[in-house]
Amino acid sequence: MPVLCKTGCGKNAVLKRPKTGDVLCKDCFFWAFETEIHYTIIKGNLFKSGDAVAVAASGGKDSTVLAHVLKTLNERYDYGLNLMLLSIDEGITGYRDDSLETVKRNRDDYEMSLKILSYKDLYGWTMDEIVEQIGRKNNCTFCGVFRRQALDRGAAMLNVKCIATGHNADDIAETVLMNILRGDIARLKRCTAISTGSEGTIPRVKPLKYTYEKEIVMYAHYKKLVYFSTECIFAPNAYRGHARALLKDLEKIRPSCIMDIIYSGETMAVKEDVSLPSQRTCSRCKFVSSQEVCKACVLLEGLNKGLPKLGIGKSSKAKRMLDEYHAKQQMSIDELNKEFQANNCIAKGKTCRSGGCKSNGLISNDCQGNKNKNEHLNEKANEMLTVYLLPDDECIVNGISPTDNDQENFEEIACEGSCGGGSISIAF
Amino acid sequence: MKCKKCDSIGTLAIRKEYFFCDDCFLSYVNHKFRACIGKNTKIKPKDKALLCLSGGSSSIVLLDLVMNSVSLETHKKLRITPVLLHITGLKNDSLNQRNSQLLHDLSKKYNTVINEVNINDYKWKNTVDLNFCTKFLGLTHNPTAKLDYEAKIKQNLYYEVAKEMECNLIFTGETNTTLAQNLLSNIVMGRGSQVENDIGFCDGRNCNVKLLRPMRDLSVEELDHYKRIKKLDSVCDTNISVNSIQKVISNFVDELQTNSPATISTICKTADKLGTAAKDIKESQICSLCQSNLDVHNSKLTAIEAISFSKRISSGDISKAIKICSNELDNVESSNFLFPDYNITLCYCCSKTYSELNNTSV
Ligand SMILES: [Zn+2]
Ligand SMILES: [Zn+2]
Ligand SMILES: [Zn+2]
Repeated sequence: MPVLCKTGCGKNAVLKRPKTGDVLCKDCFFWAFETEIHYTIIKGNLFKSGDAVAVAASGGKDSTVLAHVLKTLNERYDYGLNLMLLSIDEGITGYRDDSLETVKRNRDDYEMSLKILSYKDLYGWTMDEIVEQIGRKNNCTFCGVFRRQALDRGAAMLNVKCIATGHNADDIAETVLMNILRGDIARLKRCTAISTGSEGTIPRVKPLKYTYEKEIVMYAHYKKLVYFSTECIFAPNAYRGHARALLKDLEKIRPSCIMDIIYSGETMAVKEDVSLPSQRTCSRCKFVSSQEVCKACVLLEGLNKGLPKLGIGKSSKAKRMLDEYHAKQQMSIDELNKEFQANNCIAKGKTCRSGGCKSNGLISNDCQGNKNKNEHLNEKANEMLTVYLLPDDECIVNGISPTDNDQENFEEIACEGSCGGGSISIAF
Repeated sequence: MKCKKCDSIGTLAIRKEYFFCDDCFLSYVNHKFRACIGKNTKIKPKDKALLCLSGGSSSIVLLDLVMNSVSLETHKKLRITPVLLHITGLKNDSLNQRNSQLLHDLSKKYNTVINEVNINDYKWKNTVDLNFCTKFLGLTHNPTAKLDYEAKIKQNLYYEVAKEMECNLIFTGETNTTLAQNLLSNIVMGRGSQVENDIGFCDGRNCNVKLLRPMRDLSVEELDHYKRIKKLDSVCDTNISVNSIQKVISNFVDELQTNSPATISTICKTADKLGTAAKDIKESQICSLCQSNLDVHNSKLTAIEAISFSKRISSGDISKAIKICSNELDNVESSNFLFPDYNITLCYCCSKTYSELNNTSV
């Protein structure tokens, strides 16, 4: 026997809402889903009339639904927003190139402008190239750090007032648990805020903060929205993995725990006598950072110097690694120069062959000429790495490694779309 | 394999990292216990402490540590008068019997007496509707809410007994493992703003009696060694039902305890840094079940408003929903849609527990 929609509209119910347990018809579900996001936007003061807003679009379900609903609400309630799509191309073959096609369809369907920024353009490296350097560990770290900044850079280029991201309630609850497990007080405090951004930065807002992931999937399904549903091919870090597994188990017993966890985050605060890292700007790239040089710049430096593990872990260790790298490089250069001078007596003034180097034949730090020697240097760097390497995901899988450092944990945001959501089962 | 302290042969390993001989280990545990009290509170002569004992590992060790410390004749003597309490009526009869017997035998050994109070017989003074208390064992339809309620009722009972026995301190036996579980449970149940009092060393919600947790720096592993060396027996004191949030969390923490004990202390350290987001807590009313402040946030929009709006809208209350969005209706009224007692006498979580226990039809 068909069950009637709980709202009393007279139609037959087609689904049971994961969030409230109520049975609704399709139309009432759409209306409830959209109006709740409207409520969040109004009560959270997310936008002002006339704002230009970039929707961070990954092609995944969250950002596709976000773009669709924002467009709908903007028209229905006359927000007066200028909405546009901002997409980051990480350069992950088979994952991102397909999802970008989806984003382009969003652009056409929702008649919004689209800006695509690639890691290659911004940083000189694609994720594929990064993976080649570091192997399949810590990818989420690189991806998360670079993505965060890439969005800031893109938003600055588009000259928007804020960036709307597709973080849903499940993502936020998971992040609260994760930050507790790794003792990251600063992020624990920040992660439940509906709008974040310190002075001089473009704020990020989360209109889907109170929206359940399962309902997003249901909405996209019934609205027949096109989205890209393959999960990121890289595994999330161990803490997030633990938190995600725990949340899934808890949700089975009490679906409301997602909202309860968010409520916990909203109602607790860091005690006044606990010092937190202050936010400032990176001395190199001028984007937000909690340290002198931001994580993106440190990671990039590591990649460019052939020390890809640099920056994954404590910054004090990163600094030591860099210092040693420079010291060793200087030593090798001195050796080479000695060798060169010794050989030079025999070779009679042959100059460096690199072409780029127009020096008197002595190899300088800028000279990229001697490939073999450089490889040799990389080998040495790798040797060093085995000494200074921090426990990475592989070592932490069976238990989470101790991190008592608040400042030095790597940047971590749920990669929207990329690593979001495990397998989803919907009970209709 | 030498003892960390004295160079004699180590008899036990902690976290597979370092070794102790039996003697050094016992003084190490004792030191941790005393240091925890010492650095967090000033014991005054004439202090009278209610020791809350279940018969489980940590309460047995707590009892041993306190009784040894108060019987010292040196300057290290712990100058408190201990009063022993065992709450019965929470488990089935045979378990109750076993726990009582064990605690009776132990108190005889320490030349003292144990006070027993049955949770079902107690005359409630301050707490809400306590019809529930009489049917504790019968409530099984919602194990999560039952465990939450039970914990709060037990806490109320501690304070009531402390008052009656003229104790100004209460000692409970949570280890760092238990506290990590409690922290995660608090977060998952929405009690984030109550972490400071529920997990910290000192619960200061009652102005006359302070509840202290002197075992919080000890781990389950350490307790097991202590019990073994001192030949102390204990009984199982957990009655966490399978299908509950608390059970899922306890399994999760057990796994951490085995694979990554350092995370347990990370979690406990996190708890020490957390307070409540409310600014003006002096003005706040108190929840009549858990005695926490009712005003816990400063923001217009929290998960409570959001979930309450969702419930309203999916039960067809469309006209009011629209008014709320256009600011014609107030948030307070929309909150009350969720639970009738919310924000009047009970905090959000207690409201939820209360309504889930009342709702036996589910
Ligand atoms: Zn309907
Ligand atoms: Zn930078
Ligand atoms: Zn309460």
